[in-house]
Amino acid sequence: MRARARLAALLLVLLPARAAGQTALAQALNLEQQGFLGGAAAFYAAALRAEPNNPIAMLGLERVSQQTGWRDSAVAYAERAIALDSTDNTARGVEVRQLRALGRDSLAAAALARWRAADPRDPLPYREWAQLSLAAGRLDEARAAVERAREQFHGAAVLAPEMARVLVAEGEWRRAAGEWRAAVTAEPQVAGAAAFGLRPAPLEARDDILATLTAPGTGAGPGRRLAADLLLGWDEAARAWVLLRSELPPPGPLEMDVLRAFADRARTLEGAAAQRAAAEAYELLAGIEPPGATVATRVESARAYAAAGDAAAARRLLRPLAADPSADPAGRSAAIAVMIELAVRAGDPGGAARQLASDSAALTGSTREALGRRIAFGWLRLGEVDSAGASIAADSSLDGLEVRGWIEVCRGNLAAGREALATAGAAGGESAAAAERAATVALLDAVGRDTLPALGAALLLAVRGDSAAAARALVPVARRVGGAGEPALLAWAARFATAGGDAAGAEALWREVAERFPTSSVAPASELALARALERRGDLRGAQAQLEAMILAHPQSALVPQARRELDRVRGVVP
Amino acid sequence: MRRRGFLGVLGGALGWLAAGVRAAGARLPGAPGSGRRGQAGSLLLVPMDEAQTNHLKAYGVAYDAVKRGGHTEWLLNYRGGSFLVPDDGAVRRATTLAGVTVEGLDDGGLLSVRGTIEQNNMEQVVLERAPRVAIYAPPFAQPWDDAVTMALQYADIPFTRVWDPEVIGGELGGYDWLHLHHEDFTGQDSKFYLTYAGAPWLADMVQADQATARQLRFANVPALKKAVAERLRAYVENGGFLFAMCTATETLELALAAHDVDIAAAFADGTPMDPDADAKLDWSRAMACQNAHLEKNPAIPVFSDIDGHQVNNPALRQPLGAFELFNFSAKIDPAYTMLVQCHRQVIPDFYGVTTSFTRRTLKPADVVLAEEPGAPWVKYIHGDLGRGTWTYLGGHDPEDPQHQIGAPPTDLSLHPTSPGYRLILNNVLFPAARKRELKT
Repeated sequence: MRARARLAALLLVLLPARAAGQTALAQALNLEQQGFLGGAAAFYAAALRAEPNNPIAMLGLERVSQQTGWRDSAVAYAERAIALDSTDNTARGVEVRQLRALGRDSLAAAALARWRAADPRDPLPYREWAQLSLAAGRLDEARAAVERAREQFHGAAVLAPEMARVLVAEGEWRRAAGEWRAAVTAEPQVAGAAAFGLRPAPLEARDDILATLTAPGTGAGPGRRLAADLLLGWDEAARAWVLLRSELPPPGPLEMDVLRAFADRARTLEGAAAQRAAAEAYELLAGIEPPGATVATRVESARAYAAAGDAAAARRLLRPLAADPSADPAGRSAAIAVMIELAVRAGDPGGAARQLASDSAALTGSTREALGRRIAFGWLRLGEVDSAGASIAADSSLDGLEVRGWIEVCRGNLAAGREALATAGAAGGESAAAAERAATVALLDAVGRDTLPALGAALLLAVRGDSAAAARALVPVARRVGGAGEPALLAWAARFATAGGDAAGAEALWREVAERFPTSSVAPASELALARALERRGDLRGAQAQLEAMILAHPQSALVPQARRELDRVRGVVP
Repeated sequence: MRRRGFLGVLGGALGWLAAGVRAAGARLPGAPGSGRRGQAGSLLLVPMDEAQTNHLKAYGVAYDAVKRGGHTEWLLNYRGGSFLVPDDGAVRRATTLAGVTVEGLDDGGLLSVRGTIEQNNMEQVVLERAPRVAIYAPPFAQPWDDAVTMALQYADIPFTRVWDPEVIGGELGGYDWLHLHHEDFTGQDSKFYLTYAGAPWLADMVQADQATARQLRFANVPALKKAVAERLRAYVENGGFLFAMCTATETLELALAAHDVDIAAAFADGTPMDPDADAKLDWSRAMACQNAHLEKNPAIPVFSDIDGHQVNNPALRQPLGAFELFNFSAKIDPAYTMLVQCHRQVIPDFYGVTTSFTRRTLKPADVVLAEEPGAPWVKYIHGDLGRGTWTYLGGHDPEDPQHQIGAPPTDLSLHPTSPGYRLILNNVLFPAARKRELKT
């Protein structure tokens, strides 16, 4: 690396100044990205020698100087740039910041005074000083900078974001809200910063903040929209939506931007109320958007309704789109897909299959296959293994192979199922699904049979959601299989029993695995699960003894770090 | 303030060790013919560098080995301050359960370790006696955690809680090591009177403190805490090891210096602070600090300018940086070296009501163990008083730099290699190495 840096430095002397500057800048950015800060600083300096007022090089030198402790260098280059161009605000800012960071407060103040004198109409120096003071916790200085700026520029909203941050630091939430209201009224682009600044407010301050933001008068609109954003973050999505809907900007691009920002944010939140708020905002947006965009927005609205648990509203939006051959193809395809998913989720894979067949032409091949797999799982949940197989008959993808594997396992064709699941791989797709595949392959390896219909039937019960029945069905299968398969199947039965709410049955099974099969591959997990079962029923001493036994018996197990943490918790030495 | 100096606290033990090292080839601990063969047997190395997976519990393993009478050594500066512990069933069980990394040592390996120590800035110290540990903590719940209590619990080092009645009752003599944390020895309940007015926990705390003062026949809480501070000072003078963090450091100094002057606000004792309190403070009574100025505003939960960071004073609050441990000469200054054993030299700083100690207010005899280079404050200080020692570490919780009142306690199982918590545990083992009698 060092040799490369030297070579690059040599080449610089052979290039014209501007080109050399650009080459040095590229090299500096590259070195900084790789963490070679000393080298990066040298190249930023080279770039500034070639182009003293290059803002990228100036800010780059400031960044790496902070981390290498060479702040003096950055000051020297900033002063040179200012000497060449007194309007170079980037260099002015670097000079002030670095002098403050060096603790040379009087020099920093003098630099600030020169900056103000260079352009008395620009509030930027005051903002820089206020922000530096805030970062250093010098609230009085920050406040003084804001007040001087307001005096000079005759505006109550001048540096309102900085004043708001001072007030937040002092716990003056209501007044901070007033400053942010003024700020978002004057500069709508700071709305995100305003919400970020006010969101951490304690519960007892929130009503004051909302009252300040929603009060009538100048800035009521931006203030109420900010209040709606805050309410979303405070888990009051329904109230947020009511507030926003009552205070939308006049029809036009701003209204659409406001609606989309709200809906997108609500969509990322947990809970039915947030999803419903998102759905209603998208639906309203779809009604005012240009025709080209409206289909995708309607589909997203339907998805949000579905996530909120309102399938009827979702279908209401989707049906006209799905049935309209003249609609935008991508939008129509998405609408059909969501309708099919809704049908599967409602336990109607037959209806989903019929719609897939009738609307097949509107869908791409990969979408058809993906929906076929969803329908197959829907059939499996109903216990209809053959129908599930038919749903993916034409699917030759790797994902299809996985579904085929599950179907074969449920049929009791263990060898075929194992091969399909193993081929689908332990690493593909979602991590939970991959882990489930890997665990199933390990189980089938332990069982070591090509076919075992009773096992398939027991697992199908689990797929259908009857975990307790699956647990009961697996135990006799385990006894019959014997060998390495017995503890593995008993451990699965215990898992199903836990999921089915049979804690005592599960505990007995975990204990049997731990005591009868202490050297089996599932023993560590079973012993850990047994300890957890004991803890759940309040037997902390028993849980502690079990965890200690597990750690001492299986010190190399990958589960031991987790067991140690739980041992600490059971013993009360960590919260 | 001093950075270096030889305390000679280890006395004969080091002389013996030096002789042992010189004769390592023939008289290794555990080797045939060694006088310690019977108790030592084979040894395990508990590395304390980056190879260690649970530094904090390693201290508990060492403590337990000492307590059981097993031959245990602290290898200062050797692989982060490693331990040699007996290779027996109890240690094997404890290290397996705790997830503490150990390495087996044959005679050749041990010889190599001793040789490395002999030739470098390292030292080996025999840990002789498990210290009896007391933590000064109230019998009621507080809305903040106590780093030392958590560290001791996590490391399985036993301790006893003591409070004002035990201190006033003269029970400290039964303990080798005493820890103080967030307590306010000015008797003003951390000056939270206005900031947390109406908070149930504060009301309970004030009520409990007032009841204790009445029970022990003191006029008010500040008077009680001054008396407690004097007992703590006497404990150190008589040979005790005092370790304090956070507010306890600064307020103990102020309470000692204010033995004849009212420094408490009216909400604490019914009368305002003496307007000339600053001038009347008697710094000859304080252990670590001098020439500090009191914060006179009762509404600001700050006590004085001893603390450099002033976390509760928005106008003066300073940002957190990182502090650096001094690298002492292990062979000349083994005592200081013990206190800074760590696998990291630079540690991110953490706030407390008292975060740091301004250099200006330190006494010349103080030993600085860690500082923030270039800053007007230091982090970690140590000194002697009479036959005992005191050690102060600024800040509240090394793994929760912004610790807020009411925040959940730190889960140390998520920080088993915490360098900051190691500093606390160094202090717990510090008295174990001491040779001379602790107190009369």
